[in-house]
Amino acid sequence: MDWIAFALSLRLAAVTTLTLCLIGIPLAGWVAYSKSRLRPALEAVIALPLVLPPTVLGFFLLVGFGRAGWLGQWYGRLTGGGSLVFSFEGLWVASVLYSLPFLVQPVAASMAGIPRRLREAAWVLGAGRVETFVRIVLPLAWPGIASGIVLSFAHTLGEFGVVLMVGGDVPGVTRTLSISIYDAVESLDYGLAAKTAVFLFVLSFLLLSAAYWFQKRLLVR
Amino acid sequence: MPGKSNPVLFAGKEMGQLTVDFRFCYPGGGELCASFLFALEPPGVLVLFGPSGAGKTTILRSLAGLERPAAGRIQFQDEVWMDGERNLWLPPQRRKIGYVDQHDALFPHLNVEENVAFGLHGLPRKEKRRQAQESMESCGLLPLAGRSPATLSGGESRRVALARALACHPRLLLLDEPFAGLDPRARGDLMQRIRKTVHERSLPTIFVTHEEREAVLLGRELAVVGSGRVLQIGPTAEVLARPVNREAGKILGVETVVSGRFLSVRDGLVEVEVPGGTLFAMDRGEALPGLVYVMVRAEDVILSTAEEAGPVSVRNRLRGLVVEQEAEGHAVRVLLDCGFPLVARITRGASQELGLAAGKPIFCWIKAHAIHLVPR
Repeated sequence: MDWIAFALSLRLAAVTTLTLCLIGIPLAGWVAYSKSRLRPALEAVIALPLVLPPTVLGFFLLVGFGRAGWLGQWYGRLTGGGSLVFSFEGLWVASVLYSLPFLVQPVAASMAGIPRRLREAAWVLGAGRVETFVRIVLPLAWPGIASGIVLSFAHTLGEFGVVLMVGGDVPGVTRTLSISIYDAVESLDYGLAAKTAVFLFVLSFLLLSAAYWFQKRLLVR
Repeated sequence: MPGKSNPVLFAGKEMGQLTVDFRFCYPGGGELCASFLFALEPPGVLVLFGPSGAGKTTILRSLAGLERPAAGRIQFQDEVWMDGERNLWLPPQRRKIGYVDQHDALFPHLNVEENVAFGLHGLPRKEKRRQAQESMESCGLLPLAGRSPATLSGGESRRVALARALACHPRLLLLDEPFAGLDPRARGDLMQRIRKTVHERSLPTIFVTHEEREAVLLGRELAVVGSGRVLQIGPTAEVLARPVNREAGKILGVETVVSGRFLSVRDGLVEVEVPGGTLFAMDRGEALPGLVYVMVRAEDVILSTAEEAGPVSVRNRLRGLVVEQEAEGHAVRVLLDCGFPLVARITRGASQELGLAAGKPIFCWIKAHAIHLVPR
């Protein structure tokens, strides 16, 4: 098995999940509690990766990240010549966008399930919105958060289309485990492909089992 | 008018009182107008009384800052909590009140002590603990300090909610149906505690209920809420004895309400024509229109088999027929036909002594004092 690819997949999944926690959990709070008219539109944008073919998102990102795209230009200026295409950083940004619904949706659902009267009780007791979020909402939504973390981690680990479109197949930089299977099949090395495929299969199964275990905790409470 | 500054309500004397005058629009249509004053000195209990769906909870939640009325004004002493004209609104965090939700709303991930200490902000750990302990002790919760809310009985969790609200030293306590769902013992215990708290902490309290008994036992003042407005507010005994109109009478459980016509005033008695005869009520010097409602509480009706038992002080003696009887614990509720439906409540023993049965003719006596007239 391609251990370098595995390490890269793990690293990508880890930084993506971490980034998702920072962006996705507050976003989930907004989705769960906002009364804004923009909410359905934003929810749709977040959910898009669930239905779009990875090639569509990958194509947009490839164009946007490229030297001609404004994102690519901006990033190039910011980093002094860095590129988002065919680089780990590019994969990172793409994975965050692509895995967003896998974190936001379970977290938002568990937050929306917290009775409003608990937040109201906190407000009357003098807690502001942020304090209420940290002291009441986060602890009560933890099964959803845990499940979202595991889901987005597993999803990033198994991602293929977007990675191939944005990152290509650079060993040690963008060649993740799923791409290494594709490589192995291309070069007719079915043994290696099988080993890697079984490995990913088992790993994903374990991660999903964990996610569902957390979700069950949510229902039981 | 609710929704606009009322010159009568806001003429001076704003210190020492809670001034409420707002209009609330429900999302699904419908309106609630609340307009009343509540004196904070000396501290007492105001009961918001009315049928479910009348808007009592909405009034309470608006006072807590959890609902935002469309227009009007709420002022606590000299502090404006809400002013529609100036677009002022004080969020719940800054009102420094205690609010106990009907469902207690205890935080399920915190134990009893952590729940009680939740609102104690910016205090050193030791002081926070001391204050939480003090509040728990006053509600008899010390033995439960480490318990999870899920393991508490209804009465216990209501007490935790109360201790949590009291720990922050609120200036006003708001309770939504505090006795609902409690067994009689827990109810009595909580009633004692609330009475004691109001007295010892000089804490003005407003609570919502639809149980007349709770209102009578705790309320210094009673506000009748019905059909989207506060119909009447005043000292409890006075409101119960003298509902301001037919609807308030119905809400307050006056058993007999009958249409009548004003005839005359003579010798301090008002004569009113009702179906099947005339009634005499005390003249209270109020101007009455031609058409009135006559209200009689069932407890104020005396039943007798004799037309005359020598000279009797009672002014109203009606002939009636027993229509039906219904046992109510140790009492019996008797529905009579005196030309209009009249309800009497007598003891079970009296019913047996009189040999009451459907169709039996009987004399109904009502003191002039017990007849309350309101404009129709």
